[in-house]
Amino acid sequence: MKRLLLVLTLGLLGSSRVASAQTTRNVDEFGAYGPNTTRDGSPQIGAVEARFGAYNPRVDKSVPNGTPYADTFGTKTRYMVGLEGDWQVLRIPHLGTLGPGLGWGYTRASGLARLTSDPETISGEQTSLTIMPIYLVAVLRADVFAREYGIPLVPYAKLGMGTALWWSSDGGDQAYADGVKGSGISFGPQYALGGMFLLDILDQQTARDADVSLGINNSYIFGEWYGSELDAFGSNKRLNAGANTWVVGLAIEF
Amino acid sequence: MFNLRRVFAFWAVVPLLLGAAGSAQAQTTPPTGGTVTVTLPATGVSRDHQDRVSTTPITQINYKDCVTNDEVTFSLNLGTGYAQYALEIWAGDSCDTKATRTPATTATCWKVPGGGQPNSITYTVTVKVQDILYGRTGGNTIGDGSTDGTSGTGGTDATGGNGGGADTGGTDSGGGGTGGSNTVTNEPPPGAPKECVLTSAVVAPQTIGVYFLLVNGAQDSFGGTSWKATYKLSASAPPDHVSATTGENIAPISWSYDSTNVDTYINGYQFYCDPAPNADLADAGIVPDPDVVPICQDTTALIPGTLPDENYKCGTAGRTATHGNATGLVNNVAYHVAVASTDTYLNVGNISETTCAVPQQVTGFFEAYRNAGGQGGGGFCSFSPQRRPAVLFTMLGLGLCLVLRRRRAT
Repeated sequence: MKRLLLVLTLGLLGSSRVASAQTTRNVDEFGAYGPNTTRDGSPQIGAVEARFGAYNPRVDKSVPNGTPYADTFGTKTRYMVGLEGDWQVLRIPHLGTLGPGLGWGYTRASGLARLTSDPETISGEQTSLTIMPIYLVAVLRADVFAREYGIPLVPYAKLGMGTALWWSSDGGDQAYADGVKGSGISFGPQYALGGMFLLDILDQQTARDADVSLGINNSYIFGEWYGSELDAFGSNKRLNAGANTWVVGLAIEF
Repeated sequence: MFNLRRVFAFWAVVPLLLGAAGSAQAQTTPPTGGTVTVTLPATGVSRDHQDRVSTTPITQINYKDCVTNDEVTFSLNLGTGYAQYALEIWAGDSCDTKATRTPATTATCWKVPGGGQPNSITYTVTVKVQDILYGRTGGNTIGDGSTDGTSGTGGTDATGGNGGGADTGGTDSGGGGTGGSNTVTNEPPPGAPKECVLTSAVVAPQTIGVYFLLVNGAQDSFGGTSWKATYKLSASAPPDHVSATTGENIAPISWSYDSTNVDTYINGYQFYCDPAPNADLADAGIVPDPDVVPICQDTTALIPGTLPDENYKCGTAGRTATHGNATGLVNNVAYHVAVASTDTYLNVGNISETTCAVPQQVTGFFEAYRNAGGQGGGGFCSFSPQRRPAVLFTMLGLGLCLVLRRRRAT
């Protein structure tokens, strides 16, 4: 049964590649020419994303009283940088790739602590919250439009689990409150929807060269909306370090 | 048989032979047998100073080395011909040249105590730092005082003015020129021993040689070696502007210079607080009162422009920092706070003007979060039995089911 599935999958994959190759490339005495929409080239096994986006953690939603995050750091937008690596384990014919993705990010908010005796007065002491989100998601990239129809857009979706290491410091040292250490782990579901624009069409010769010399099959810019509910599934015992936010970045498939 | 030609030839050759011998003697060959050499092995130098850190080169001399008159011990190896000569130790520039060792003329070298008649092929001698620096500091008495040195040229940058020219027999070297527009100065700390106060205004490290020479009675040297050291006796100037604000058991400090052209030898900053961080406040009659914000009284411990007392040290900051925290303070106590720079030679400079800081209790983010009813925290490995284990167990169970189902299918 398993073997049969594998053979069928490989057969479908092979036939789709051959079919598309026959339809779009021309050959003369100097070699192949014309738009390379066949995606032929080096084997494609994964993707890497460099990510940048806003990150305003939902800390204040995990407390019953007040808005400690906004009171301390204000409401201005904070940003996050991150990386993600995907392993494109499975190619689904006439759809795209599916596989696991592992991501990491880093963001930090800092501000000045307030005097306890007079909360309206700001002290000179720095206080900060650093969050390092890490997630494991299933990634589906529907590159059928680019591969089969020459439309350089790849919608994608991600779903999985996220966690975030976070720690707070006061005056440059680890923060404590009533003897409780100001650091912890939050976790919960993570999901994302996004779209990628295939940059290869802007300079196909460079794209081919990158594939031949570096093994980079495709390169993209992308925009993504994603959400993470890192509150231990609704528990108020965890600081909710997740966020609903947008991300932009560069991605390559190799 | 008397051979007139042979006698004539003999007497003709004698002067040539004598001349050749004399010439050789003036260089390195001794008049009698044995080699005349002085060598200093790479491991032949040790320092007595206990405060040096492992990364500090052994060739560096700082102000503290001078004040404590640190000792440098040299283990020399001599050639077998040493017995004919005395070993002399000189410090300065190019002291292996006889003319530079002549006090009545240029006096760029001075004799250092510790030499003598060697009685072994190895010679161990200990030299004091103040003796090495003797001719470059206020301890200098070389020459007869007839002529002052030339004045230095004015500086235009952080290095300050160039040093004055050498004496021509005067008692002191020429004074350095005035510094450039920035505030880096070479002001010696008040009360500094004259042996450790440079006679030039050069701020940058200077090189000095210690020469070990085997000499005869006419001061001709027949073998020698030298050891090069660098010295820097003044640290960089303190910041021009220092301010402090409020923190909990700390005093956040900021500082700046009027000029951006700051001494390139700065290696960091140290903070000083009065009362000292470890002082017994009760003994000093200080009783912190949360309801009263105290004000700073006069301080006698932190005097701007003087070297700080290390007992009052309350923090450090790195070379490129412009702010830092004085730590170890008590809330609701008024502290005088000052900043001093340190340099790559581990010199601590004079302290800045003082400012006043009163640490008070503050509410940081995590404390505000907990005050608002947040229950997160406790460390990365913290787990509470009340934290909805059912959800976790459900997920783990589902995962286990999937694995089992897959195994059964195969």
